Amino acid sequence: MALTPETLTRHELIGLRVRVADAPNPDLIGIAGRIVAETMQTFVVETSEGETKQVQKRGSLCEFRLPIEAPGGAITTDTDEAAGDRKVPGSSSELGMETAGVRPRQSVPSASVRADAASPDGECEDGVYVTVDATTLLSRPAERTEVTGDSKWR
Amino acid sequence: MTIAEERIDRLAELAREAAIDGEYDRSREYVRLARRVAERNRCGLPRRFKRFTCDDCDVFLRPGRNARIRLQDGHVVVRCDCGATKRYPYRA
Repeated sequence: MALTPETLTRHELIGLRVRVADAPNPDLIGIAGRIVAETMQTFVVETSEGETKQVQKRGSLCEFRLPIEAPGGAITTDTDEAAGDRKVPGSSSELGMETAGVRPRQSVPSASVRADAASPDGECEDGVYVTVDATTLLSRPAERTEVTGDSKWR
Repeated sequence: MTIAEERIDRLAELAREAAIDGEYDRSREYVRLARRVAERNRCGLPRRFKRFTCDDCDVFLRPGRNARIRLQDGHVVVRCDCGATKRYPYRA
C-alpha cells in the first residue's frame, strides 16, 4: 500500500517534508523541514538551515507533504481507491483520522486530514499536502504500522 | 506489498543516504527501526538489506567507504569498519 493520506499515520514519516501548523509551544509553530528522526512523543525536524528541532506530537498540528509517485492527476484516484478498499474499525490510535473527508473540495472543515492534490498543470508545488493532528501519531515508530490489527497473528 | 515492507524499503533508502552524507549514527537508527518493523510484522528483510547492513553496529554498508569486500573461495567476505565480518556464499 502506497503512502497516501489514508495510510500516512501507519506509514514511515521519516524523510517526509513537514511544517508545524500549530503546537502548544508557540516557538515551535512554523518550523518546516524534513523529518530525520521520530520518537514515541516527538519528531526531529531538520530545517533548511541545517538545524534540528525537536517537536512534540501531543497537541500539535502537522502538515505533511507527500511525494507524488504517479505523474499527473493520478494521485487523486489513488487516494480514493485506498479510501474505498479498506474499512478501518474505530480504534483508539485512529481517533483523529477522518478517512471520509479526504477528497479535495469535499472535506469537512473539522476533519483532521485534508488533502489538496496538486493540479496537473503544476500551478503549485508538487506533492499532496496532508494536515494531521499529530496526537494521532503518538505511538512507537516501529509499532505504528500494525495498530489497526491487520496482522494475521491477531 | 504491505505497509511494513514499504517502510523497510524507505528506511533502507534513507539509511543509505544518511551513510552517504557521513551521518552514520542516523543511518544506524534507520536500520534498527527497519529491523524492528520487520520483526514486529514478521515479514523478513530483503536480501539486499541483509547484505548491506552490519549485523554488529547496524550501519548501512557502502563498499569501499565503510566496508571492505573480498572474494574468497566460494564466499564473499564483508568486513565493516567496526571490525565485524559477514560472509555469504556465491556460486562461480
